[in-house]
Amino acid sequence: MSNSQDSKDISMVDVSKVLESTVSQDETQTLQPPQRRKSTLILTDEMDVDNRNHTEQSSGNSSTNASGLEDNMQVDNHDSESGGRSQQNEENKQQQQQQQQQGTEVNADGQAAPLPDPSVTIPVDIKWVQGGEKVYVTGSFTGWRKMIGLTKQPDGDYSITLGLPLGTHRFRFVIDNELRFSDYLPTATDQMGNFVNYVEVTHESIQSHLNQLDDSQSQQQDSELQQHQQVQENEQDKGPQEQQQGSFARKSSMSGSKSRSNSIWGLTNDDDDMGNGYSRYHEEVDNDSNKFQYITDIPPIFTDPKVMEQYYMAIDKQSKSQNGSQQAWLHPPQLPPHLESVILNNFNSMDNNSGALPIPNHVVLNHLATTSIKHNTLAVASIVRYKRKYVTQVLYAPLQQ
Amino acid sequence: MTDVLSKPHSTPNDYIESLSAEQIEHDQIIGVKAIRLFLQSKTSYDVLPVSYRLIVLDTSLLVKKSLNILLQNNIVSAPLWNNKTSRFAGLLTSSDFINVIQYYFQFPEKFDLVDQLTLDGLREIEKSIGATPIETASIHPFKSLYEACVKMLGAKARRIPLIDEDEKTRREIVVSVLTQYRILKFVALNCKETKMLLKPIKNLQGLGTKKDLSTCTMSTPVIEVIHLLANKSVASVPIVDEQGKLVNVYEAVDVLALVKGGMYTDLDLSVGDALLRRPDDFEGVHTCTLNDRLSTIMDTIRKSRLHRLFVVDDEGKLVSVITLSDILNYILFGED
Repeated sequence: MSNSQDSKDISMVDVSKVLESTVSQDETQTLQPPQRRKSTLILTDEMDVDNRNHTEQSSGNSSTNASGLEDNMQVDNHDSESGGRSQQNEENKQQQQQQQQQGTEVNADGQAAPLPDPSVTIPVDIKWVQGGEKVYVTGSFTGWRKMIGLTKQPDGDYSITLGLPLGTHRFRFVIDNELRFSDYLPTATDQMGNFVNYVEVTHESIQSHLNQLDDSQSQQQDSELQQHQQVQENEQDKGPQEQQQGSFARKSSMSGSKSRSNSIWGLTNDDDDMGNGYSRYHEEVDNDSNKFQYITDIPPIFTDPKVMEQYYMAIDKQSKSQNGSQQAWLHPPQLPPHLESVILNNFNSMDNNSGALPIPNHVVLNHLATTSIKHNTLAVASIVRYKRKYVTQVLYAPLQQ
Repeated sequence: MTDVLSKPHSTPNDYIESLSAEQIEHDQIIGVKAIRLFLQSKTSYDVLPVSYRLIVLDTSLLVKKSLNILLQNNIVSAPLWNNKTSRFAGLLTSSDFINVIQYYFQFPEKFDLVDQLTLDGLREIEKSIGATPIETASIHPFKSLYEACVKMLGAKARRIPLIDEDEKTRREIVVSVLTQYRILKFVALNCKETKMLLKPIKNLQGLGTKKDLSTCTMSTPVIEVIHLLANKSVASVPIVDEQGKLVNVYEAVDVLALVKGGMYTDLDLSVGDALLRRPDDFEGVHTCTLNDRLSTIMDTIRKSRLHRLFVVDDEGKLVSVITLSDILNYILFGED
């Protein structure tokens, strides 16, 4: 944990400021890589600047995440979250649609859609409807270590709402000390061959969640006050809500807020029509490649000692303000353990004339491995997919003389 | 083949011997056609393992360094990559090293040039000794194996690079390189119809006809053998004793061990001494007789790595040679 946070801190340092102080304005135009670095790594900052309209709520969300729960997981009170929303849902539907349309118009103008903040989580209902007394869920969102208890609902089913970030989350249930998977949720076989349930938090589900938050914000200025009020409302409305929940548990959380749950559970996977006039968001590959271009200039941070020094000072300053260790940049971040086994090292050239290798784990794909330089020759290797097979290309090249 | 139970035979060979010539002829034609259909239905991509390695050499490498890399990795050929054009630049094979050796033999005063020769410079060497550059045929991995074989035979190549286009940059990428041996092994492993090829090879078009072979003896200087390899454009020269009995073979790939480490000074060695440099894992010399059947040969291909079979008579005297190209040529175009 602490390791990964250290390295995260380093990468989060805003290099662009250092650059601007030493390099003149028109030069920064040509210096693409630091800018690109900023936009890919410092998403949090950019989001705050770009999307003022939802900062209040989302930053509130992310700060609880970062400080409160180290597993990047948020357990919300089920009643307050989804109950409150489903009430507002109907009222806001029209407004939402307008917002969504505005959003797509901006896209058409050529402005890239802002990527969701990686720390933004959206509430996901997880339900267990197959009996049992002690019902827990554990999964990739807790590193498979913690178990989270599900709350028994009046109709005998169990449920909990988890705040999950972007990505695919795998999980299983622990029912009366027995590891099980739900027959009513999407299942898949993971890398180890285990059968697990999974939920996919997509860009569009986050976006629609953020839009909902925007709406609620426009109605109630202070978000804290709003939450407070929600809790109060819920306490008052407990009776009718319990009935409502009983009904949508049976429909496996589909009826709560349609646009969200449908896409999360992949129930409309094969259909681009998301209902209510929404259609599935497709990432345009061409758009992406236009945004950045490859250049051959080495960023000054690697060549100009002045820039380099300022960069390190900035890192130290930042880690000082966070009580981190000084001069952490002296030590490179640790190699992730899955990159340590290189399949090429297991290659036995005897009785293997087809060059066959073990099948690589997908996490090692598209990484660059190198040998040490021997006799002025360097070999680099990379495993890439070719259709449904894996090519481990080894390129031998001389050092430039 | 229906009366296998009615007539008891002591060995499978007795049974095959008992078959009528018409029956064998009939089976042979069916077998060849079935293999041909198999080659048409499968692609080069199908031959590739799910995960495999591909060693690529940058053309700015020195020739002597690239030789070490080949030996280190236990391979005899590698696709080349030109980093200036970012393009595939052909294959490095043993014939390139033979060209360099011949060049050095013609111009011994240019040792420095040979010593510092890069892969880029190989084409110049080729030109100055008048060697015809080998046209590298290539094929898309999703084209049928049949097409790949036709291209290889047409270009007289023993291997063919599989070239595809990168989806983003539209530049060609080398996916892998297939050899004749790998294709025939793939057939032998996956095509049970090879068992139907029961005709003795003496009756087969192309395979049964005796070829005029250049041979050498153990005391022939290795440089003469290398000239033979180049001038006759063959991949091996059989070594025979005074009675014409086959004792060994000098292969084109053996020159890699000969000039290992950039040593071009040992060219006056005899073939016998040169063969002492051969690596320990040498596959051996494979032989057959004119009475052997293609089914047996395919079985041998399945079990061991071979690139040709020398045809010998009962006394072990060299009669002819059957190369993998001969076998492919027969399967693709024979029995029509």
